[in-house]
Amino acid sequence: MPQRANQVRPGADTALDLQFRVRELEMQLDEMQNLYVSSTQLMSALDPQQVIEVVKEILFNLVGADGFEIALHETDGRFAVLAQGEDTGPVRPFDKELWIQYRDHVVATGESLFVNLPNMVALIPLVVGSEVIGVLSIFHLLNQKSGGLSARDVQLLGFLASHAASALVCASLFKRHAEAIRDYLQEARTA
Amino acid sequence: MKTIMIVDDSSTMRSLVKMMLLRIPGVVVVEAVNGKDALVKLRVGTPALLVTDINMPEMDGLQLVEEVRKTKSKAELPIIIVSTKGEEADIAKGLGLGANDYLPKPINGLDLASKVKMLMESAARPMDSRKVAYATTR
Repeated sequence: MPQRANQVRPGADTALDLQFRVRELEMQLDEMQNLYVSSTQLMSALDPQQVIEVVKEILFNLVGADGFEIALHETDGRFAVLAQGEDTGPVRPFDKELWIQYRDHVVATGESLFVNLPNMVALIPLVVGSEVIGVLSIFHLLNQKSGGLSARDVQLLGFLASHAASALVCASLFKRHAEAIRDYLQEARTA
Repeated sequence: MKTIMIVDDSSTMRSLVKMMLLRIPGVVVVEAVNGKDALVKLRVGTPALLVTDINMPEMDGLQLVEEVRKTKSKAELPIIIVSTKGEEADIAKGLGLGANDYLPKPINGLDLASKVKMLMESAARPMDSRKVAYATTR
């Protein structure tokens, strides 16, 4: 009986499966390590500005985003911009009106939005508990990241946004309390 | 144990790269915050490999590569540049100055680890066999 040209020797499939599985596990471990380091760095920041710096580093180095904006949603409905991507200068969204609508939608629903428009890639809510405290917008990726955001990036962005939101609130509270204690001690010394 | 030096001004980036490299068995990591700091630490001992960023205060990664290559005892030290600058011209500049490899960001731990392993294995081989390996891969 003639042998089929594409016939593989017994066990080859299993070996390939195993190789593929090992590679998959290594990738998962890599992602978990990235998440661990990101989380540790975010949670060890005691100043909101430090938190922003860590977020910027992760966006640049792990996601490959160089055009972004981190904005807090204030009680009067306006947004306070905390940071923007440095390499592209001030962020100029593709269509400001449309972007504002998208951003309002993200605040209202608490859901991420990934849109396929030039210069606008993703809007991710910064959520603490059930409250949306801001929005992380990604407008531009590094030139070498021509394939856009991957599933891994989307996962990392979601994680980053949720941890950054908690870290921002914690760091702001810590800063406020540290200042209050310092003022109290100063008053006590002078009294 | 083999020592790898990571040069980056960002502590977040150093931690990320450190975690990626510590998955390679038998590796320890030394950190430097910029090119100048790296040169000071390189006077104390020579690592098995150096991973450097480009944009850093005081002395950037390209200047560091140039300085290292000027030093006779460090001329063979394998160097990998990791940078957000990913254009062909940037890569050519880094390699032209003497870096052995160039990884544009965003970086992937598996890619970095495999490049590091490959360069360390290559550096551990005698010079003649390295030439043969290079010739056969072309």
